[in-house]
Amino acid sequence: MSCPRCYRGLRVIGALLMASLLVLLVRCDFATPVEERPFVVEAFFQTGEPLGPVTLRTTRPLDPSDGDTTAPATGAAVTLRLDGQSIPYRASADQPGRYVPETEMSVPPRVDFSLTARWRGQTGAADGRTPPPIAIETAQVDVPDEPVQAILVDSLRRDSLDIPAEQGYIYPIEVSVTWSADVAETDADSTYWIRAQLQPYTTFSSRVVDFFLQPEEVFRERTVKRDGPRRRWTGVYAVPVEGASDPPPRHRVRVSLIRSGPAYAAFAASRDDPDLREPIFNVRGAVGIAAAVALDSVRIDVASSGTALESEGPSFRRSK
Amino acid sequence: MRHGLLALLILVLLGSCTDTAQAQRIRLDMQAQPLSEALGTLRAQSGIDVVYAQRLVTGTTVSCQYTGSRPGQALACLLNGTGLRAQQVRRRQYVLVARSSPSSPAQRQAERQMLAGFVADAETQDALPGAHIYLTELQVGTTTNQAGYFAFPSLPPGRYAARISFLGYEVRDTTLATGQTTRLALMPQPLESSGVLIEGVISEEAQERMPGMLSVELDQLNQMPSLGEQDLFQALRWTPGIRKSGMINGGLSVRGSQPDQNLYLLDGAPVYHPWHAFSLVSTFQTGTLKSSNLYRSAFPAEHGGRLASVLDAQMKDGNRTDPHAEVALSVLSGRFRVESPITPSVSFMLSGRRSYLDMLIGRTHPVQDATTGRRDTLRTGYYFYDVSGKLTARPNDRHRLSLSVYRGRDDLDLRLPFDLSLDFSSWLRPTDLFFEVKQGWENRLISAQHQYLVSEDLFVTTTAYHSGYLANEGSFVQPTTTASLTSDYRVDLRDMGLKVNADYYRSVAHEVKAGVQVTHQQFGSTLQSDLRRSSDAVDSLSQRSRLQAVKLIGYVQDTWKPAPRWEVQPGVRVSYFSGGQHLHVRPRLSARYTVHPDHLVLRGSSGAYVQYLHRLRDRHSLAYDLVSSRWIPSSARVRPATSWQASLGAQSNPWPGLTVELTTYGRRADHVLIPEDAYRIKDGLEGPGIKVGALRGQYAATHERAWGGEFSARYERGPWDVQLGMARARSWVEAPPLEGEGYRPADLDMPYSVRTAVSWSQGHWEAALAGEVRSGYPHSEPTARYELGDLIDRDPVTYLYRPQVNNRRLPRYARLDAALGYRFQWLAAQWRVKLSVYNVTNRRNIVRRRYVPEQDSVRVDDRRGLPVLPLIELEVAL
Repeated sequence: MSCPRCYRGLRVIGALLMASLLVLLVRCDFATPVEERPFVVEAFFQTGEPLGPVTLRTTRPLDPSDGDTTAPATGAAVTLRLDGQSIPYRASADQPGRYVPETEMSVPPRVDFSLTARWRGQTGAADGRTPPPIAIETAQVDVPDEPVQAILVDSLRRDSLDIPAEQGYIYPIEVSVTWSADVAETDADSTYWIRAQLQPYTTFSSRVVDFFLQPEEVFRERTVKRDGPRRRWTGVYAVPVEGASDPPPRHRVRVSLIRSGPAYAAFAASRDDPDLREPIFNVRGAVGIAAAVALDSVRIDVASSGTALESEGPSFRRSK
Repeated sequence: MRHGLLALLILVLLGSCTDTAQAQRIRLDMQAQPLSEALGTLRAQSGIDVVYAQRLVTGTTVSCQYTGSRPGQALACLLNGTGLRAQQVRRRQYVLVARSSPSSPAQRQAERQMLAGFVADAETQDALPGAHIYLTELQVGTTTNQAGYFAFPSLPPGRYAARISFLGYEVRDTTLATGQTTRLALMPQPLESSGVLIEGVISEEAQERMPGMLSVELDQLNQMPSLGEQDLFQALRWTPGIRKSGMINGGLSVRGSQPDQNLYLLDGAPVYHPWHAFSLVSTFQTGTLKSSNLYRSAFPAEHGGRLASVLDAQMKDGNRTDPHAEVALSVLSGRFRVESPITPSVSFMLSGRRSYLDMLIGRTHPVQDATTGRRDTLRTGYYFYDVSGKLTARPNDRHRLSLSVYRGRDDLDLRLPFDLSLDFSSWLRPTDLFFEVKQGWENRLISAQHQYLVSEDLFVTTTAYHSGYLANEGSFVQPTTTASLTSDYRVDLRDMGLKVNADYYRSVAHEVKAGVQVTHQQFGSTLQSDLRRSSDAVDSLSQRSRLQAVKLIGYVQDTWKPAPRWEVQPGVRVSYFSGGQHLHVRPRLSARYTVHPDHLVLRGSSGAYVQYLHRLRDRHSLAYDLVSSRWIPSSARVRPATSWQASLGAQSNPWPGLTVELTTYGRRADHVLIPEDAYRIKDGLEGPGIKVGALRGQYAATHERAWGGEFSARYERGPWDVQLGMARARSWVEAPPLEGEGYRPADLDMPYSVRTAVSWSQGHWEAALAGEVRSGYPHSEPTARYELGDLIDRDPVTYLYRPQVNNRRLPRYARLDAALGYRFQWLAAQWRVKLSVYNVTNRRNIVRRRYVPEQDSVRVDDRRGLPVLPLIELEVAL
């Protein structure tokens, strides 16, 4: 090197590079730990119904030996603004962590709301808009004449080729439900979503067959096929039987339709797999959901003939 | 931009250091002093470099009085009356030549001559791209281009001592004469005396390497332990900062980047899905390649198209002197390679590989129920194959034509009952309830190349190619007698391009490279799906997506060698993408400074990059988009990903046999697409569909940051070769709106990794131990639990509170592999047997972790990596 000063300078640069490497090597992994445990808000405001309660809970440690196992969040201040009107909530005397409105009133459709809950220095807030009411017009149940053969698999183990399975029999039961919707309000640029759900009062689960059933679906209302002002959704659930000639067991199924904005739809579509994920929340500063919805549901008794024997619900009319 | 300015600032600072020396005052007062001593004095005072043949100055004395600061005038003073004159070959460097007759500067320029030639393999006559030619007296070097051509223009006529070197070949010292095109042949290095990777050897070609470039010594890879097939990508994982995105499969991640940020080129044509066997092995067979360069992070203007890296592999031309054949059998596949001359100027290489598992277990299985007599046919077919070939013709010294073809395919064909078990025979029975899966994906590539030496200072390479990627996923699933899924999904990507690259050797100090490229890309996809839930409830989906785009690219870069120790490579790359009409002008700057040829080489680079394609996957459906690569072009709504990158590095050879290298880098990328919902998994048979909007809606455009330091060391002594690679790096992404705010660790973030390999080779035997220790991949660990109810469900559900995606890490990953090989001759053939043992210590690393909420606690389910696996490979060369 013909330039001693240069050489010294370059040595300095080299030393800096080496030093930077050492710094890099000794720095700890700084994936930021989040220690604060927020509280949980659960609130549903149902169009056309009296204002419902707001439930606040605490998050709890993973390991119960850590203590702090109490779930209710007591001593909170809860306020709801509905259509510009402020509605204070008070703690329910019957159930800790449950807050009820101090004012009795019905939830009007198409108005804005905002909920604020303060608990131990934390504030959770959410807002939205109440949807128009929804009413089930018809519900039709179709039960096949015979059970069908089905593969019964309890779980799909991706890390093993050993998948125990056996064959059994099920009745796949279709339920079609229709409802009316204001075309101008629920079409085009509408942001309304529908959650349709069949809740049979019986249990059946086969990991493979479950993929083919559709007891629940969350979808944009405007994407559903329309017959005039009426929209239709068809779901499928299954009930198991022992043999190939067994009739379908008598059971009851609840059919529900919920109209909501996108926040509740995202929550509903993401809440079914607690092993893998949390639901998608809309509460800022806390955990949970505070949403306005419109709900209608009917309960149908399904007998071996496959026809609905009796029903109950605010607006159910039998289709046949 | 900041990175570019930073690199520029460092260059200016370093450059100013040299300028201090240039401004030194020269004072010569000599009487009858030997010319060689006088030149030494001038060198010391001025810092200029004077090159001459000893015979010219022997016995010559000079007298000169000069005071000033102009080295050229001082040199003229010294040479006055000696019959010699000095010709400047570049800034601050002169060559002494005999003064035959007085001539003007124009005449002197006219009498300059070119020193040019080709470098080839002595055994196969295959051109050697990237070989290094170093003129020792002038202290100037260059590397051969893709055709093995090199040129030093505008040299004073004469003979120059030269050293030619190339990775895996013996160094050759020779004398080259100006005015003629020389053909140089290098002998391959004996296996026992060479190492594995260029990194860590501060040889001439390693010194010449520009920042970000890595050459892989392909012939030496077989010694290392490997799982399944020894291929190019397995070799790259020994380089700090490069790894597979999965445990053993998945695309390459370069410095924490996503796998879709790498471009793979085979003879100039892109390969869009370079993987076999569900990404377990790559389509790049090392035996078919003559060179492979990986450009990562801040790479020069001639390369682009991706943010993280460009892998540029060239197939062998075929042996021009003798026929050669090779067959091999590994645990996964059998392969062959034939290469031979056809005529003295035409040669070919043909190679093929095919897996054989399906031949062992059978592809179809006719079965019959013993009681009912019912017959059925079950299928268990899976295979992959690839065929590559190259035909090369060299009609004369100025022209070289080549035609390369490649076709590789994977094919999976299953028809099985649902109740799989380890008892294979239990599957084989007729059944009404079964599933069929038919998946296939393939790359087809044809590339024609014409290399034309227009004149000694201008070399033009024209490449035309067509590359296609086709994938199909068909399925029929029948879990009940009334429910079924019929699905057919196809992806079709076609890329047709023409590119012209020109190398212009303007002077010893300037080598200009420029090129243009036009590409037409078609992206097609179709989906037909019928989901029968019961006898009457059927969901049908029929979608078709077809997009196309034209990409225009132009670049120019200058390799500027202002002084023997300096090389600066400024460049600019302009690209236009018709989808969305995006135009980007991206500057690049690289520099290398050789502080001491043996002890220290410094490198720095910075540049801006753009990537017009995104690889996205439907994150909902289990029925399709399982194994295919679906590339989405930029458009008005899908912005191209862009990045700024910079790197600084130092390479040193502190004592013989040991080479160390340190590199630091930083990267900032924008408009990178990551899943909007990190927790979303494929959990249903149907998804939103294959339209670009539906797919794009599952992703969020975000920012990415990465930085890191990499340290590698290599020690070679006798039969021993020890390598160490360490990386300390972080990569972060800005959290999508669903996750909140701020940056969080990227999915492939890996704070540290250490890899080491010890190999030994002597006589017939070779052995290697390779170990890896690294931090675990990020994962999302819950910190609390809570209950939350729903409007219509009866009871609240227990959830685990995960406040931040990737807030924790899996436990440290460590693995040790070993290999033992034996070479022998038998039946006039060379045999090689290699036993590789994967995970020698049988350490069951945790590769995935799940948390399952239970009544009053949380259960942790760990998924562990592969246990110890012995694998054997047999190779025969004729």
